[in-house]
Amino acid sequence: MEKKKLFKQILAILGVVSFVVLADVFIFFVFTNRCINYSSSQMQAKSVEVDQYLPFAKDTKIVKKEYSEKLSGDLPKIDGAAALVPVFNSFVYSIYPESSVKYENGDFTKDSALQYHNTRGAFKGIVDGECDIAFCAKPSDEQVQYGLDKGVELELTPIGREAFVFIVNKNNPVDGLTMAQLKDIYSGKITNWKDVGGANRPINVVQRNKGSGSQTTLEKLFGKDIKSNFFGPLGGSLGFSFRFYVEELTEHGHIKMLKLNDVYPNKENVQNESYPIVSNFFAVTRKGETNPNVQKVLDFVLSPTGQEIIDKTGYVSL
Amino acid sequence: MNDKLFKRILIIIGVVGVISILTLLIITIVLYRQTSMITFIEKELW
Repeated sequence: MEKKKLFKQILAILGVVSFVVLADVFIFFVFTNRCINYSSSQMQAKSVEVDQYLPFAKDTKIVKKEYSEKLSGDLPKIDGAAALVPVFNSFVYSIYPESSVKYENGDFTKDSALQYHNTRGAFKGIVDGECDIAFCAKPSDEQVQYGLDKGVELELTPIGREAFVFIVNKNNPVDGLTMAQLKDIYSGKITNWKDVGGANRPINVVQRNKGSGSQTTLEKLFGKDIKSNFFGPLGGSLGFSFRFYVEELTEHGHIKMLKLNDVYPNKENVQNESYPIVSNFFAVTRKGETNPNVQKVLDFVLSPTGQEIIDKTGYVSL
Repeated sequence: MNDKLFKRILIIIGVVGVISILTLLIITIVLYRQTSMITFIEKELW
């Protein structure tokens, strides 16, 4: 009788242990593992609908500016950040021959003059010689060092300006922050929205992948030692991006851009420089580049037509 | 094994189990938030 009872008790304990282990394995493989896959740079790159901005597609969303001189000969390969796809695809439309862009099965072919590997891939491409001009935000120290390690010095040509913005959910009652408050949030001194006039909820300091254009900009502003609140995931998120990238989403989606020092990041406030964080974006090339067409592309980008494309696309020209 | 000891063992295993499941869920949420910032901010419940 006693043995039978002991057997049942051991069975019950093993049952509970098995349930817990199976539940953990189930959550990991069905949810956690999926999130790890989402974090790959490829997945992030694919989240941008590049096919809507193909230069020569009939229903493309790019700004079309005709230009008399098309490039010929050794065409520089172009790549860049997700947020700048509409801009550099428009440049390609103006000065590249249509036959130079090859897009098949949702990706550019290797011999296409236009490529898209996002900021990290574009910088790597410049250094490794797989692309010739990258349109991006300022490179991170690691990216510059990667080039120097391989004997490649990068040349940065400013081509336009853009506001670096902070975003929250539309229902977050906070509409603006000051630079001092942001500094305290990213250094971990402020961890709750109520401390900046919001609801009593933890601040979820969200960050992007290292090496992405916006993450590099954030680190240049607030340092690399950005503190995340442990309870943040249970609260409200504070994100960041470039204005152009999220502007449409603020109109049709469920996020909003925050005022900074009481100035809203619209185009006018970027132009008159009243918005506090305005940074250049660049055409990045290899120093000592010998292909004359690289300089021709840069000349076009800085010409009135190139700058008009930047303006009409929604960014701010120099 | 007396009933008191049996109950204690079950409670300990249960608590440890729940903690491990919650920890895994939190890690999942953190990973998800870091990887698709805008989507997750949009989906946030207020």
